[in-house]
Amino acid sequence: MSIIESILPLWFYQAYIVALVVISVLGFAYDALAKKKLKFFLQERRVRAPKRSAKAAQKLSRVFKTVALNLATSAELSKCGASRRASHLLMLWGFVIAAISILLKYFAFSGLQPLAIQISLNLGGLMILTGALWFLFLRVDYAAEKSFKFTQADIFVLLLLVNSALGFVLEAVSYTGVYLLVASILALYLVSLSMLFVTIPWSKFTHVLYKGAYAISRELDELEGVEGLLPTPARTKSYGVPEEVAE
Amino acid sequence: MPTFVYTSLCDGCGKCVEICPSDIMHIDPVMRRAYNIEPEYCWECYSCVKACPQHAIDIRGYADFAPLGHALTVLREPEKGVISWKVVYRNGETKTFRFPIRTTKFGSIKPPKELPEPRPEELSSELLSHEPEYLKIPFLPKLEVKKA
Repeated sequence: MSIIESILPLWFYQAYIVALVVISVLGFAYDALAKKKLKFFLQERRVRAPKRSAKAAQKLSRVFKTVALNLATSAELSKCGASRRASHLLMLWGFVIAAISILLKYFAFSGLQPLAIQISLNLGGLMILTGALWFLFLRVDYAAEKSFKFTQADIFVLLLLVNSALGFVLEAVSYTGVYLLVASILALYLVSLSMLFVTIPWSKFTHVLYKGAYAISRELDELEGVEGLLPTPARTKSYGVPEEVAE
Repeated sequence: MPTFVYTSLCDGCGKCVEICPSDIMHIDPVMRRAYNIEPEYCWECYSCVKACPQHAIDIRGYADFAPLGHALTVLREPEKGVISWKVVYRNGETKTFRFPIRTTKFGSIKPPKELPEPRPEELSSELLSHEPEYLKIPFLPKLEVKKA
C-alpha cells in the first residue's frame, strides 16, 4: 500500500468517486434542464419530417457506427485541422483511460495498484497533460495574437491540465515518503478534481455530451430521410461545370 | 440578411473570425463558439458562411420584416470545384443552386512568385507577364488594318 492510500481510508476514496459520479449527473441535468437545452433539442426533433421509417436494428447500427467512426475519432474536427483533432483525441482518450484505471484501482483492486493499472493511469494522465497543453495554443490563434486570454470557456481545459499535472506531482512526492508534503499535494489534487466536476454547468465539460447527441441525431435524421439544412452534395466528381447545371 | 451560427455545429475554430471584413464574428467567451456580435453591422458578404468548415453559419432576415422559417445554407466542395446554395422559402419550398468555383484543380495555377522573373527587356514590352505562353497560344493575334 502506498503512502497515498495510508493517508485516507479506502472507503473514503470509493465514496469520493461515487460522489463525483453523482455530481456529474446533477451537473449535466442542471445544464440541460435549467438552460432549456434539452427542451430546445426535443423541440427540434419534434418538427422534423422523416420521409421513411427505419427499423430499431438499423438505428442501433447507425448509433454504434457514429460512436465508433465519428465520436471516438473526433472525425468532425478533421475539417478544423489535424492538430485540433489530435489534441482533442489525446484529452478524450486520456480521460477515458485515466477514469477506467481509477475505477479499477479502487473498486476491483481495493486501492492496490498493479503495474498495469499504474502504467495505464500514467499514460492517461500524460495524454491529458499533452492534449490540454497543446490545446492552450490552439484555442486562439496564438501565433498571430501572442496572448493567452483566458475566459470562462477555458475552465475545463485548465482544470484538466492542473489536475493531470498535480497527479504527476503527487506520484513523484509519494516516493519521498514525507507525510505532510504528500497529504498537502493530495488535498490540492482532490480539490482540483472536485472543481473539474463541480464546475460542469459553467464549463465546457457538457459539450462532450451535446456534441455526441447532435452527431447521433444528425445520423438518424439522414437514415430516416429528414431533409438536412445543407444542400445535397453535387453529383459531379471532377472539376468543371456541375452536372446538375449542365443538364 | 445577416449571419448567425448554429452552435451545435460550430467547433470554435475561428475561421469566420479571421475572414470577417467587418470584424463582427467573435468567439463566445463562455462556450467558445462563434457568434455574430452585431448583425446590424454585417456586410452580408457571406464570407464566413462560405469559409466555415463545419457549415455552421446560416443567414436570416431581421425578425421585424422577415418572419423566421426561411434559410440559406451553403455547401462548399472544393475537391469537386462546386459550391451549392440551398434556399428554403418561408412556405417550405426549397431550391438548390450549384455553381462551378473554378474549372482547374486547386494548386494547378502557379502564383506569380513561383514563375520566373521577367527579363529587363520584357518590362518595356507591350505583352503582359508571361504572354503568350501562359495563354497557351504561339503569339498574340494582331489586327491587320486594311488600307481603304
